[in-house]
Amino acid sequence: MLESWIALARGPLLRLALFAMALGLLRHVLLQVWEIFWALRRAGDQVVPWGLALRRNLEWLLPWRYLQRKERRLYNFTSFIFHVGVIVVPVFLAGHVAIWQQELGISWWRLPGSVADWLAVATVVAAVGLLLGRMLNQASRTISKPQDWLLPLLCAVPFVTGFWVAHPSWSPLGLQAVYLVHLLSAELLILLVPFSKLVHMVLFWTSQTSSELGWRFPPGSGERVRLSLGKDSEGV
Amino acid sequence: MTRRVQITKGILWFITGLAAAVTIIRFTRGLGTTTALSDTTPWGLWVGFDVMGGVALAAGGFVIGAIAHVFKRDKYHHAVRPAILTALLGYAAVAVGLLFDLGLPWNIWHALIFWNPQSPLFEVAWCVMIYLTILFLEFLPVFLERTRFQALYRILLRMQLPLIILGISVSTLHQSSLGTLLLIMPFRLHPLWYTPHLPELFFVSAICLGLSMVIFESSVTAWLYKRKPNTDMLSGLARFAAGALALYLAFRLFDLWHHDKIGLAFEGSFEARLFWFEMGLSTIVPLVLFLIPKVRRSHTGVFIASSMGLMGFLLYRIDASGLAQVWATRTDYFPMWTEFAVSFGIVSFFALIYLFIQEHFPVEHEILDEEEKWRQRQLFVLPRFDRLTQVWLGDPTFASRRVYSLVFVVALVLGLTSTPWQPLVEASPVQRARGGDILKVGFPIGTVAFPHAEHVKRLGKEACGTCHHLHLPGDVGTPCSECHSDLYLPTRLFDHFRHVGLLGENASCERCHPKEGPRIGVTAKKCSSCHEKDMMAENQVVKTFEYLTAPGLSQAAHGICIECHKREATNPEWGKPDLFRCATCHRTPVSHGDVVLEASLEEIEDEVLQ
Repeated sequence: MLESWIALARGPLLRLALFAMALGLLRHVLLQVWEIFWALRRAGDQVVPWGLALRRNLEWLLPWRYLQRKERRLYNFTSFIFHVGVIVVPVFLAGHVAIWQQELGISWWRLPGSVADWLAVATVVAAVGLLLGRMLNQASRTISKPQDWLLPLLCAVPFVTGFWVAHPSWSPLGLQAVYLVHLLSAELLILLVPFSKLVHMVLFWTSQTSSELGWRFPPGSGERVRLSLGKDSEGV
Repeated sequence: MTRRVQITKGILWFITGLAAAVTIIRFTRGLGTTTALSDTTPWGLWVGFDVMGGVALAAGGFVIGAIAHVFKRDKYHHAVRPAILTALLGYAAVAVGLLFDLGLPWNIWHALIFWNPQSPLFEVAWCVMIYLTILFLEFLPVFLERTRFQALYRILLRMQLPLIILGISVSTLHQSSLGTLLLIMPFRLHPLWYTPHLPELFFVSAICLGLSMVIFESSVTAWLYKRKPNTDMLSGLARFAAGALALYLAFRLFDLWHHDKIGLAFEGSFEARLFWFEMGLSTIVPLVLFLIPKVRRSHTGVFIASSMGLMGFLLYRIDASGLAQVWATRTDYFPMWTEFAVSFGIVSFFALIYLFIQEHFPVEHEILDEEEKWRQRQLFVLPRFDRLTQVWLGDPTFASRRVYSLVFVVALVLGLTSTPWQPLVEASPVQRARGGDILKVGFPIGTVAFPHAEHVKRLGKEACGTCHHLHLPGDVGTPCSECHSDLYLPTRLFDHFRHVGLLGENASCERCHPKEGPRIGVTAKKCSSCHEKDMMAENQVVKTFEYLTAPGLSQAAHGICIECHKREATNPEWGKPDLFRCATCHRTPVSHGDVVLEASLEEIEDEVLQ
């Protein structure tokens, strides 16, 4: 019974999730590039400081500047740990790389087992920490949407179950059941990437680039804004 | 843009997405994976619907051109540009559809260089290429009308009449040549469809289908863009269609009567029922409907009659190229969903291009003006919040781009997930080599002659390991069929339960699996680390033993035999330079009957052993 579910989760469902993520992300990137291109083409001021935009992107992609911020230092650090764990563990885990090698014949550097274990634990702790930080801060609580609460929790599930798959003796459930939960939760997460705020994994750079480009308006747009808002009679 | 257009475009994008998924698999994994075609049914839905039907669907271009320009009926001028656009896109769709169906699509240009004037397809290929060029030139003025290339525009307008006449003659040639294609199969095509007058029938049916398509398409665009349909023009076209249908009906029935085959239509067989269904749908009912003046003047009436005609004549093409051949081939071909997806996907994709051109170029001036007014209005609409994607959708063109791309990607993902990535090969078990001398593999694919004794004699006993590279533990010379037990499908070799039992139940896991980490196949020890001595033989080709699966015999034998045969072909000692050629091992049986096959096997055996 569980075997057939595992077979389903390892085969078609995994393929569905991976295809949905890859193509969904590709769609977001293409749409974004397309929109930036057209925004720039229509804009009155076409001089763009590309170097500055690139520098901003790199500054925010690498965590140094983020970690130097004075306010909410613990939260920022927790977030950093969480991101490292969420990226490094699934991509470089020895068991995962072995599956890639078996299925597609590609392989890369593997994370040593003990490092993977500690990093997984740190990630789960960081996910809980992030939730606490969000809960305890009035401002974050106000701007949070349901997905902000659910996604860290959902991220933690594959890590906990993955840890149990690697160390069956720690697991409260049977190996197969834990493995199935691991597969299904990870697939749900992958599937949700293009449909939730997780899409920032490919769109982070647009937040910086758009702030350079987005405020360039087509000539005469003030007039259009006035008409759209139905304030024809008032001055701009 | 009306809500109808948006929903229609959404549906079309969805079907296009499915087809895009199948396209990827079609061109990476081949026809075997994406179609139910076989050697007995090499023509399927793609030929019947996309090529045979598609060419005739696009016949509206030359028919309307003839009515409006040659016979000077001015009220049909409005229909010329949409009809030429349909024809242009229809022919492009045929070319694209053909790429899907050709086994070696990259050779499609061969008709240009390697001439075979005896072949009807040669004529079809050339006419389609020439006609596509003509259609493009006929339609070019639409693209140029509102640009600054007015000089070129006026020159092209002056060329319209000669181009249309050229188009009519080229169309006449190849519409009938499609029928000529079928003339070579009098014993395959059912007598109710086969006639020496197939070329003429195909031409007349193309006129009927083309007219139905023009009526259908102009009533659909009128509905989509909420315009008042041009009833005067539609009823006029319906009258022409009635004439063409009557001609087709008379021709078809007279031909059957003349060849004394009309009785076949009343036999009650599958073909007789199919014949009457097709005739009713394509000709009889639409003809009756078009003859009633009240129906001709009603929008719904002409729509229903023309769509029936459309489906009926498409069915005629599908019958002729497939269904009416089943009585002779006795196949149970039914298209896979991937074939439907590609057929409808090509139509959807070109329908989207059609709508795009209608909305951005002066094909029908009313639609373009309406669209431009709509686009101007949209500049002043506030952005809308989309609950599904949780984003502000910006201006409506941006919003529709987001929605359509989402629909497309969802369909693409669904398609990629649900399409098989491997050819659907039925199990074809390999028999143990008979008498140790001949390898008999799947009938009717062919027989492989393998003189075992001869190989032993030539190569010596030390060379056994070249082929017998792996044995059952403790065995020597284990036959190929033990592991490569299917001709094409891989076989799983490793028996987990057997190992668990032999090594001592749960305590023994760590003899193969690591202590830490997941206990799955890929992390376990290689088989050769225990079985190198008792299972592996010395071999130059297969050096490792770490696979848990053995490939099908076909793949395995090709790997091992050809490697050696290539090398030995250059060996002057044997004097057999052709050793590596297919026919060295693949001998075609004399006849396709079981008894004869056995006899011919013996013959081959004798011949090879001499």
